[in-house]
Amino acid sequence: MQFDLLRAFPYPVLRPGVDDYRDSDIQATVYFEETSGSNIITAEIDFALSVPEIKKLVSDGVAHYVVVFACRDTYFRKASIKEQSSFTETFSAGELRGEVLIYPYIIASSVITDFECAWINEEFGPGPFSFPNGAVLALDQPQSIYIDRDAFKPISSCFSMVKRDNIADNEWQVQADGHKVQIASVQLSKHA
Amino acid sequence: MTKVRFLRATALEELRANIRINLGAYRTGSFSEVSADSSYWFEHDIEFDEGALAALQPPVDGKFFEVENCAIVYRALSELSPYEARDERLWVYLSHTVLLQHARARWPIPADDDAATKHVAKHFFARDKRQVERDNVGSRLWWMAHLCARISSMDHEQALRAFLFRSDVRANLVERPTTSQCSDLFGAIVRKLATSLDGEKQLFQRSMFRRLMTEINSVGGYKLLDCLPYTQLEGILDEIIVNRLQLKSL
Repeated sequence: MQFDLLRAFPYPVLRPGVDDYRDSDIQATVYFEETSGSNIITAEIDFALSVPEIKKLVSDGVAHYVVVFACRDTYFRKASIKEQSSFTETFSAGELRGEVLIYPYIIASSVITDFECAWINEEFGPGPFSFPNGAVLALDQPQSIYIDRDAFKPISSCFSMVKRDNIADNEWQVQADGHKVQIASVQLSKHA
Repeated sequence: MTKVRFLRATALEELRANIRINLGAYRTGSFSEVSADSSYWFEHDIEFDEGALAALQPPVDGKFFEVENCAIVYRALSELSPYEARDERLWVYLSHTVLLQHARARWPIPADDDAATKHVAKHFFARDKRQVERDNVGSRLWWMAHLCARISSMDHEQALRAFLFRSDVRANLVERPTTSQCSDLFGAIVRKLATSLDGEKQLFQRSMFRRLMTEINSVGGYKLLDCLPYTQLEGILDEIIVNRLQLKSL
C-alpha cells in the first residue's frame, strides 16, 4: 500500500518527476517537535499544491489531504486525513521508535466523476476523468525521520572502571595513559 | 509489582560473547548475578507482574500454549509501550532471569555445544527485528499479543487463536509490514480468519491464504486502504473471498 512514485496508474496522478500533470507541483513539509516535559511528539504538516482543480476537490469535500505515518519498529501506522492543507498530528512517544516514514497524499474520499483539468497531460486524452473512492490523486516524495530517546541510548564514557584484587581496600588507582581513563579498585562492581 | 530492568549495554555484550562458556548455566544453572548485581542493569519507571511472568505454561505433549502465554506476557507487561518492547536489553534481562526456566522448557537446548550456542543466541537474545518478533522467548509472545490487541472490538484471545492457528498464515501476515501495521486492515483479516477457524478453515490453506493476500495487495495497489473505513475494508475482503477466491464458505 505504498505507492512507488513511478508507478503506472490508470489515471493522472500529480507527483514530482512525472508529467501526468504538466508544470504542476505538490509539496508536503512535515516538521516534528517534542513537547518538553511530556511524552508527546507533534508533527506539523503543510501541503502546497499548484493545481486549483485538485484544491477544489478538497474544498468540495470529495478529496482529502492525507499523511500516512509508518514506523516498522513499533508496527505503528496512522493515516491523518484532513480537509485543511495545514494541520498537526500528535503521537505518544511510546508509539514511535527508529525510522518513521512519512507518505503525503491527496486521496479521493468518494467516487469522483467528470473531473477536468487543463494541466493534465494530453496523453491521457481529453477527459473527463473518474476516480474511485480511495484513489490517489496526488502524492509527494516519502520522507523519513529517526526517533530515539536520549535516556535510552547506551552511553559511552571516557572512564573505565576496573576491578583489581591486588589493590589495597582503601586505595583507588587512576591510569590515564590508555584509550580511556582507568579507575581501578578492589571494590568496584563489574559493569559500573 | 516490580520495576522493569534493562541490561546495561556492556553486560549484554558480555553475555552474548560468553554464551559458549556459560552453556552449563543455560542448561541447568542460573544467572543470579545478573539480577543480584545492580551494575548489570538499570531500572525503568514502568512496572510488571513478575509472578505472572514466572508462571508461563511449559509445553505438554506437543502443546505449546502459545495463546495463553501470549496473553500472560501481555498482561504481565501491560505498561510496556512498543518503544520499550523493541529493546533487546529488556528481553535479554528477562530471558536470563524470570523467563530462564520457561526458555529451557519451551526451547530445549541441544546437547551439541555448537548447536546449543546458536540456539541460545537465537532464543535468549534479540539482536534484530526478526529475533525480537519471532525467536526470543519473551519478546515474540509480547509482539504477537500486541498485534492482536490493536484490533478494536474483538476479544483478544479470540484474535490470538485465529492469528496463531497456522504458522504460515502468521508469518505471511507479519512479514508484510504494511498490512500488519495497518490495524484496521489487520483486524479485518484476523476477523475473517476467526470465522474460518470456527468453520471449514479454508482460509488457513496455504495457497488460499496467499491468494487472499495477493488480491488484497492488488486492491491496495491503486487505493490507499489506510483511508478506508472498517466497513469498506470488510466489504473488500468479502468481495475478494466470494468473487475472486470463489469460496462459498470459509
